[in-house]
Formats: sequence, structure tokens, C-alpha cells
Amino acid sequence: MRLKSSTISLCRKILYESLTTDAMVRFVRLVEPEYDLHERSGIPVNIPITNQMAAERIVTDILADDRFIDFVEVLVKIDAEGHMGRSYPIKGLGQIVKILAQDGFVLDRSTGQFFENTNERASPDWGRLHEGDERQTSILRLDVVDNSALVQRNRPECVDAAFAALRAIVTRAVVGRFGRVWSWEGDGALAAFMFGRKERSAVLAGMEILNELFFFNRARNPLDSPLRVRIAAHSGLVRYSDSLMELLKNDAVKDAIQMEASATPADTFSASSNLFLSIDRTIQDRFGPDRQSPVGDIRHYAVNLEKA
Amino acid sequence: MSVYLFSPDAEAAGRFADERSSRNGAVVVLGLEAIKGHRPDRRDLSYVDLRGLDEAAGRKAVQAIKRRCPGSAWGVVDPDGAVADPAALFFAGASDYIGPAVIGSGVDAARFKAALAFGRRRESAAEAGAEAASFVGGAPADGDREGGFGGWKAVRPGSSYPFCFLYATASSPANLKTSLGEAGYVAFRDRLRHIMQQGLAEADALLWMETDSSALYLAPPYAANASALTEFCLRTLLGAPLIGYERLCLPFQLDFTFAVHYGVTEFAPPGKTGTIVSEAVNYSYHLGVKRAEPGRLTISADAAGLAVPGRFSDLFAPAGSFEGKSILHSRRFWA
Repeated sequence: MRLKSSTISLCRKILYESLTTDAMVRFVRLVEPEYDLHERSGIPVNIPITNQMAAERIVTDILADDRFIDFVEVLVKIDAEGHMGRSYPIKGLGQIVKILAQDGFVLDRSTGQFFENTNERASPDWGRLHEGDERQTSILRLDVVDNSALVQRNRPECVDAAFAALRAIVTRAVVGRFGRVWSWEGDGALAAFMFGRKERSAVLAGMEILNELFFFNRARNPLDSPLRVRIAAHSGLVRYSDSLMELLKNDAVKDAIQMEASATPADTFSASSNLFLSIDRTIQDRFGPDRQSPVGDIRHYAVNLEKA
Repeated sequence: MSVYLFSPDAEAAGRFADERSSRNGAVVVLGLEAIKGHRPDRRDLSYVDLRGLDEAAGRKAVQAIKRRCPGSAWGVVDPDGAVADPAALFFAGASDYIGPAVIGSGVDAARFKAALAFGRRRESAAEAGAEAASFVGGAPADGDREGGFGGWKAVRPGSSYPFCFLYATASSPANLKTSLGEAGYVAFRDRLRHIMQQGLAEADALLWMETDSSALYLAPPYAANASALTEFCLRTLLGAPLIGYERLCLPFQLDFTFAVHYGVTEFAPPGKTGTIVSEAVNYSYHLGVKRAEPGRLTISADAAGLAVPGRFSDLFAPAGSFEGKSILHSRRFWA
């Protein structure tokens, strides 16, 4: 991430005016556990480092390691909640938050995390992940049922219009909840939620897509038959990569794809049971009971109508 | 209004409309196979093209378009002059017949309008004779209802206009006020009002009256607005768990109750409606409070013709009568 020199100076000032060298190092280690100020600065351990020197070195290193946003998140949390029972007010932190907002990163106060302003861009790495970063992730997999038959039976412009509408529905449901659509193959999508309330977001996005398709099929579908999908959501550890092939090697992604293909009927959304731990009863009640699947227990959601 | 042409030969059908209509993209040309999924609006006009079809296939195509357009106008394009008795098509419900003599120069927009007007007139006449009980599509036609309402800017206080009324309320098995507290309830109502007004923007609805727990919206008396009201209500009923949990941050179940009615009332601006005495307003409130059920949209016979487009008709079922008018209610969504 590139920052203006005035912003870098401001960061240094904020750090050395608010925190001691020890506190700065302690907080940097929340982002980079192996961080060693003496080693990075080349100053022997028997020589004390002043606050100003420490702030200058830390800001330079954090920027070089591309961990600036993670570090500001830590500072925002410490400023609000303190650390290990002690309060650490950090003067001027609001200015940094404002500068990040101007650079397209918005602070979500409920999660304490910065997100790309999705009105401006929605990059697959959320503008802050690095190759090899591992995070607990909720994966959403969607597949169009009988895609080949649809393509054969309908005129290309009708197929294009229907798939464009489906992409818009999925993108709205996913990106609107801080998720990212990682890939659109011919007949399916792979989306991920790595930040915020990721389990909840994946479940609600899956429900919204099915609800929206219910109305799309009745009101705007140009195809000769309803556009039907299978959706699955699963959670697990994912190692981020810019390469889709590498992403597909993650077990959590493989499980989500298997869940969709082998345990999800058409017009249904399957969510693995581990996603429900952080979800209220009002949403859980809309899902069916636990069922067994090759990747563990799952629950189904579908739009069903009262019998006439 | 959209004009659809279902044709076995897309290239030849591309010359169906005159140059101006083609340039404006006024006619959507689709393959014959797309008839099966066709769901026209009341204001749409649909044609089936019989070129190159033998007699049996032609008859089948006409039957298909007739079945797919129960509430909207349809016609037949016959460039080969294969139909021996075009009048029989009109007896069967067609609103237009484009024969070889007409198609050569391309069909213009005036022709489409005339066909649509013919279809509406006939529908009105048929509906006038229909029994009150079979009220879906049995209400006065669109054109008859539009008289007098010229848009919100032209509405004058003290004058009477036809409107679609939407009664809306949200409830919960847990008492909302008790659960949320006084301040929380006020914040909840503000957020809900915002969500409702966002969703009703497409129907061009106006929040007209509001009580502590319910609201009455007015929408222009056109089919497009009324069906937008219906779609909004159905979307809200299906999405109630998401709205309650995600957008309103409620830890308990939220149910919506909707009722739609059509009638004439004197207009007064929102906030100055205290002196309004109107049978239509009373009926709308009574329908919402006394008869409508949580989780359903209830529609009076007077509004059904406008507010239940063909694409949603299977989502509704007759629900008896209320204060002398037949009513429909939507089938509940069970997840």
C-alpha cells in the first residue's frame, strides 16, 4: 500500500506521542508475531531506542510488509478497548481512519475491520490479502442446473440476458455482505467471505440468491424454463492465492463444491452445520433439520409455498 | 408496453416492424420455443409468426400464445396468407391479424397501439359481464381507472382521485414495543419506514397516513404501479427473516401483514388527512386490521384486476369475502 509522505509522518507522530517503545513493539507483534525492533533497525539490544526512532522504524517496516491496514485495525481496537486491562488512548487516530477512507477503505465499526468501499471497487483479495495468507473462510458455491440443456434450447441472447441477471443477483448478495466472487465459470460461481461476520454473511447471501431467483423466474426470465440453481456454503481454513487453481486446492473449497454437487437438490441451498453456530434462531428456523452428507452435517433451505 | 414476436425464422421476423420501431428496439423477437416461458404484463402485446408452419403446427402455435396471454393482448402474423379464416382468430381472442398485405411495409407503432386498445376494450366488456366472485381480472380495465389521476405533482388537495391503497403493518409473536422498549421501537419504526419507502419507490407510492403500528400508502391507479406494489409485498413476505434479522437487527421473528384495495378518495397531503372521510380508506383499514393475516398479502376484488399480474396469479387463492367484496390472499411462504 502506498501512502503519502505526510500520512507517514502523521502515523509516526501519532505513535510516538501516544505510546512507549515497548507498547509499540507489543502492538506490532499482534500483527507480526516475530517482529524484532532491534533486528529490523540494526541497533544492538544493549542500546535503548527512543520513541521517535521506534515509531519511524515500525511505520517503515509495516508499510514494507504491507500490513499497514492490519496495524491500524489493531490500534483502533486498542484505542477503543485498551489492551490487557490497560487503556491506551491514541491521539489523532481518527485522522488516519479518514485518510484510509479517502483511499477507499471504510471502517466497519461493528467488526472493527477495514473493508474496500464496494461502491468503488471489489477486488478478489479485498485489497489487503497476500499470497499464502491463511484465514478462516466461508465459501459459497453456486451451480446452474442443466446448464447445457438451457444453452441448447434457448437463443444465445436469452441465455446471455438470463446469466447476466443471475450474475447481478449473486454479486449483489455476496459483495453487499463484504464477500467476493472469486470466479464465474460457464455455469457456476465460487464466492468467499473472509472478513466480518463471514458465516452469517454466507448463509444470508445463499438465502437471498434463492429468494431473488424465485421472483426472477416469474417476472423477468427470458428462458423457456425456470433458471434453477444448487447452492452450498461451507466454512474452513483457506490459504489465499491470486490463482484460482491454487484456491481450488483448499480443502474447504473442495468440500463446498462436493456438498453442492452431491448433497444439494435443485432450487436448494445447503449450509454446513458449522455455519450455524453464530446465527440466530430466526434464521436457523428457516432451514430444515440436520442431514448427513459426505462432508458432514448440512441443513437445507428452499423457497416453498403453502399448498393452494 | 413491450411487443413480443415469437417466430420460427428470426431473420425474416426482424423485418416485421417498420424501420423506426426496429431502430427503437420496440419489438422483442424470440424463437417459437420461448412461448412456453412467456409471461406478459397486461400492457404487453404478443404476436406469433406462422411463416413456414404447416396447418397443425400453426394451430398449435396459436393455442400456445393464447394460453400464455390470458390477461394481455395477442395477435397472429401470417406473411404467407395461410390462415383461411382470420376472423376465427378474433373469435378465439386475438386482438390483431397481420396478413401478407400489411406486413410488406413493416408494422408501425400506431398499429401496435390500436391492437392493444382493441384488446383492452374487449377485455373491459367481458369483465363487465363477469360475476363478482370470479374477480381476478374482473375489475375495470386499466384505461378506465386512469381517469382523473395525472401524477403526484398534478394532484390537488380537496379533489377526488382513484388510487391503489396499501395497508402495511409489522408484528411479532413477541410484543414489539415491550421487547424493544419505547426508544428502540421508535428507531425500529424509522428504519422500517425507510426500508418500505425504498422498496415502494418503483410503485411510486406515497406514505399517506401512519399510526403507531401501521401505515397506509397510496399508489397511482395503473397496473404497473399496482403490480409493483404486489411484487414488493411478496418480496417482503419472502424476505421477512432477512429483513428482520439483518436490516432491522431484531433477535426475534418479524411478520408483515399487507392489504391492497382500489377505490376513489378525496386527496389531502400527508399529515393533513384528519378530515378525510372515505369509504375506500375505511375499507382499506378494515381489510388490513380485521381480515388480513400476518405472512400474507390480502387483495380486494376491486384491486385484483390491477394488482395481480398473470405471473403472480398462482401465488394467490380466494379467501372468501369481506364487507361484501370478494378477497384474495397470497399463499404463505414456508421455508
